[in-house]
Amino acid sequence: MLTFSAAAGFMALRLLAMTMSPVSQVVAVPVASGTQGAELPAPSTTPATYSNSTQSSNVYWLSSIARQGSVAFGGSSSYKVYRSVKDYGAKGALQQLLLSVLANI
Amino acid sequence: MVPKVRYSNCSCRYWLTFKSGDGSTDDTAAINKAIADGNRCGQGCDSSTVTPALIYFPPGNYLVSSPIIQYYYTQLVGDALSLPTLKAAPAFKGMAVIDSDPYLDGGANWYTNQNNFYRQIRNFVIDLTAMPPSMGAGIHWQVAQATSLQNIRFEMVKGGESNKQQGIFMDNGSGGFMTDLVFNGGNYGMFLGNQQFTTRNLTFNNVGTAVYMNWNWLWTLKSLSINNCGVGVNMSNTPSNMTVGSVIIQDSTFLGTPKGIITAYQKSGGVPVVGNTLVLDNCDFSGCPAAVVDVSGSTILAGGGTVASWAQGHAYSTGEFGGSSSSASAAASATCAASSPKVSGTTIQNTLTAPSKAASLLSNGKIFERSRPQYENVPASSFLSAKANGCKGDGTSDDTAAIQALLDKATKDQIVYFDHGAYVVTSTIKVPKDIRITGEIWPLIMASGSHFASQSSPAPMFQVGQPGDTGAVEMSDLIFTTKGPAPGVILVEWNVAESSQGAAGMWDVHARIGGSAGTGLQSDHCAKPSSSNSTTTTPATTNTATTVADSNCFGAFLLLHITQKATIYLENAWFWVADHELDLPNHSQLNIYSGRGILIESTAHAWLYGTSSEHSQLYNYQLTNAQNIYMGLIQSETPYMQSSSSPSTGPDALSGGFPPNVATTYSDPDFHTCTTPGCKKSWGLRITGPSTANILVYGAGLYSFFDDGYAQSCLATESCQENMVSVETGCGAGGGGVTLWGLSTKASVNMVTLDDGGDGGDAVVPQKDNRGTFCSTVALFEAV
Repeated sequence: MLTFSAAAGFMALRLLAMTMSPVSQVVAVPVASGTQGAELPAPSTTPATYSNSTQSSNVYWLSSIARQGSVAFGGSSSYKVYRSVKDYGAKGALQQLLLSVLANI
Repeated sequence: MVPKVRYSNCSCRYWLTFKSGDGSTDDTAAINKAIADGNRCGQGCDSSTVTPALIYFPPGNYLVSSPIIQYYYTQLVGDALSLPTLKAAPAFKGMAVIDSDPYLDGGANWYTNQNNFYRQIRNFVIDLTAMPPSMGAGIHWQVAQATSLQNIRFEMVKGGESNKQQGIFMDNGSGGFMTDLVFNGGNYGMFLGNQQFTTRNLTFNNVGTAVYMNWNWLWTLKSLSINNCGVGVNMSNTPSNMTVGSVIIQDSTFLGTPKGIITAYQKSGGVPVVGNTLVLDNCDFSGCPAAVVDVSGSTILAGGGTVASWAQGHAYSTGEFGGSSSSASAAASATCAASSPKVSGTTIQNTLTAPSKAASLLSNGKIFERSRPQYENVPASSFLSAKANGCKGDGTSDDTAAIQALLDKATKDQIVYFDHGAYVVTSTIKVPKDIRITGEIWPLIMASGSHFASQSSPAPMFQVGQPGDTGAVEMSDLIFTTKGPAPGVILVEWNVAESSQGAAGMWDVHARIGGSAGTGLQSDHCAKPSSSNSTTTTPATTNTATTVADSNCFGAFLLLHITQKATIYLENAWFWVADHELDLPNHSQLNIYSGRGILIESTAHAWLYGTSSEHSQLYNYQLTNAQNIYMGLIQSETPYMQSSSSPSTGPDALSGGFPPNVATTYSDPDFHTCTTPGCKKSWGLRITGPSTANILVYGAGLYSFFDDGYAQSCLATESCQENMVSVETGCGAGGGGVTLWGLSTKASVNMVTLDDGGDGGDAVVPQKDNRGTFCSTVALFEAV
């Protein structure tokens, strides 16, 4: 029976039911011990104190707000002030691949 | 690519990563493309304000194999609800996962380090754990003012003899602000070298040395949480010729850490004399047996408990150090009775009586802190875009009425959002006492026109609340400026008092007068005259400059006014009258004449974290009858063109050229009795008024680099100006109560001038007795 030690705390890995597919070789990387469950930086104060609103959101507004920013002095009308890295091909897909690996152990 | 698992029958621990066969998960190129797109300011460009970029990282784990290069005027923002991870590949090559100032072959940088302004990185996990422990850095942060790091966790390999990993590698700069950082593992959490910096809420877990201070002039470290590290702060670099000027550690906790601070300070015979000046304020060493040790390991200050107040360095007081308030008051009375105030100076390395701190400044016994709100729980639908609500932001159209209407219509659930652009304002905007405003990468709010044209009729551009108002005002990510000369404008008049602790404030809000596109105060007509000494790194010696104040190059009346009943939480604020051009390619030095920097008259309270006020003519920071003010740290520079000794070049900036009248309603300083150029210089910090009380400054770097019109011969004699800090609080009931910790001045003959009764100040702290690494430094000056 294979056992699997938990990976670095920065990834909350869960086993998912995924189908096996051809894969390339996996090599070792040290797990940073002591980081399991390491906390995210705590904001200096609790936001609730300041919120005047009962609203909440599951989507960070910065990622979805309409983009109308432009440079007033100089620059071209096609210049983009706001860029999302995924629009330039960044995948941020590391987690998905590890998840699929673990599913196949 | 898809990974493959190799398994056996053993009960094995599996260590997982990738060989990126086809590289398709390597996101480095894509990220760098997102940043660089649009012909931006990278290699070969020293600065630019017209190619800004806000780079968003959605949730996910991004594999990087070489540095993400943060171009000039770039904000890297991860998703605040689900922090993206930047994962350094095992074979990562390069200086750091994020590089704010790459090195070229031969050692030069892309950007001049002390001019590397306007950066922001927030909401990331940076993971070096896949790299060999002998290498790796999270962020190469060689930056100057208006830069910040917020909400970043650094994951590094824990322990090991060969561990060389570091979360932040900082070699040089003139900063700056950081908050809400966590460092797990690594050899150094932060390797730091900078002129001055303010850093707070930093957590270090299982780090070899949490903070290695390689060099500085001054640094304020607040709210450190150092857990299970080998050393907290090592500031002892090169004991025979100390490189670290001064450090303040406040409101910090050391747990499971054998050595708190390693210092090379010498009570006598130190090189330099006051090198390694150190101030400890409210530090809990109950989990640290040796709070302060010397380089041989001997204990200077034992740990095991809380240290309320301790310092090493030079200290000056009008009263008695460590005395009770009654004895201090008696001593102060004796001081007042004397025709010349008596200030005693001494060398200390000992516990002191804790300074009293106004309750309104405190939370759970520490000086209150609040980070820039990011509104991560507010839906996009609650944001009111300026450009979608009648504002043009095109740098030409008058947006005054549209902005006023927008602010008036925003409800408490909504947030006003200034899309990037330049919004021209031609009369006073009355900002409501309850409002939240944020901007898209520092949009410009520009004062323009006749309403702001007269020095004798100053008027605010953003009038935040009315005197007597109580409310919640949050402003972030904005720049206030002028379109052309606006010598009557008060950029921000802050009247509102907080409705709850920290509810009224500005974060990452800056002032910039001239020096950039659209301001009308650029090097095309405001450049330092060509006959002046050139801008080289070699100090020039001869004065051929003229400092006649050109009204076409006048700036503002006053950059920020905190009025009597107001409270403010001000953090990461750079109030800069431009000394050089950021956009036009000559980047030449500028002569811009702007009256006053930051004026604080609040008798309630205020916090100023990580602020800088530079190059205003009369003063950079002034407190008038202020009470319960916390400032940590502050930084200033005297305008470079002040003043002239040559009558043939005309009246100098302060004695007839500009401003024409001393504005007594604003308690302006008066230079009319000056007879030397060295006297006719802007005050770095002026504290005046008989009701002054409970002023606490933790770190001040106040600099003067030029004399007699851009000459620099004065640096060799530390005499570019005569005085830098004026304490004019008088005597009697309520007078005094000024405590300056970690005060550093550059090239001011007298560090502090004390005026007890209006017959002119007396120099009481000579710089020559307090020579530090680059500045002159005192651990403590108090006027009780």
